[in-house]
Amino acid sequence: MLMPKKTRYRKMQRGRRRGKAWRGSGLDFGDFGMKALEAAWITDRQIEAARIAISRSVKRGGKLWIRIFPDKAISKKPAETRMGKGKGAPDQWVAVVKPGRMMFEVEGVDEAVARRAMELAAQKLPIPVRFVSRFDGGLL
Amino acid sequence: MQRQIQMEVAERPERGKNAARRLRASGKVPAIVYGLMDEPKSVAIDTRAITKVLSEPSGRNRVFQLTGDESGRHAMAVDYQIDPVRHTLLHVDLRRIDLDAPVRVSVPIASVGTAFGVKNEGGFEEMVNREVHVRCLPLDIPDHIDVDISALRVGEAIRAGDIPASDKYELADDEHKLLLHIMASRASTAEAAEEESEEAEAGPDV
Repeated sequence: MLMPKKTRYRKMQRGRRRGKAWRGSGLDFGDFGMKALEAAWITDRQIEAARIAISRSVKRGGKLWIRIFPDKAISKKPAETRMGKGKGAPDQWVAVVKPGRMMFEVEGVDEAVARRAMELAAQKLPIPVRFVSRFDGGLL
Repeated sequence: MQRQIQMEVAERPERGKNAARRLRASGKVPAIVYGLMDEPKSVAIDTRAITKVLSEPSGRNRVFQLTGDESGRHAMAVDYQIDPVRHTLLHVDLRRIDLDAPVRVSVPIASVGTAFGVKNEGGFEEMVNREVHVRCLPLDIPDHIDVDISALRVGEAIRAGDIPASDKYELADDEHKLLLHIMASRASTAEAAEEESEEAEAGPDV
């Protein structure tokens, strides 16, 4: 699973997820990509599941870029614990994703293969996404 | 020779996000025209017309012949902002240009043919840089620069210095800048590894 190698502090505050992804929203590396349409915390497991889905679908051809990284530690209190006594222990790592964020990009495969791979990967994610292509003739 | 596109610009008296939002709702996009030692001017352009031009693969290098408040001037779109979710145009930067002065622009690279390494060696083509900077007169800007990749094998690359020379433009980039290369796909490297391991398992005959 993806996680930071080293962090200054073990636990974080939740923060807010307002606004859109004004950075990291373009197709910068590959020919096809998957864009988030809602804000969410994407966990390291979800990213890994989506990566495996894409990788298996394109049969190890082409190249994949993962453009989100789970650098936010989420803590959780154990079950059946009374409130208080401090913040819970770190439980998982998440990437903060805002609408418009390009999450995955692929290159070196046909559009039909890329589209199918992204559809399968989208099933592993908790938010609606959009398939984008460099060849659609848009402003992206 | 590149065709010029007529683009009507109208000066916009109001500034700020609320005025810009009202402008976008009325089918116009806020823009600014600057350059050639003249005062910058805030203008409005028809969203549909400018979007159609900028959506083309080489739309950013089109020369606009401005009409309306900047009548008689020529300009190029040097930057634009889009909404990250809806992909609609939010703002455009137009720079006034002199048709007799060379400009430095980035031109898309188009690979021609299928590489030998892709066809016969199981590799795939990776574009590292999709554009190259060239210096030329505004009306001589090529739509794209064709690069023949049919002889490329796995591990070989095309660099900026390899693009075909022309009397219309000159390269304004580092000639060693990597444009594209043929990579061995993970599938082909895995097959090669399997073959190697089978050979190793068989071992030498004694």
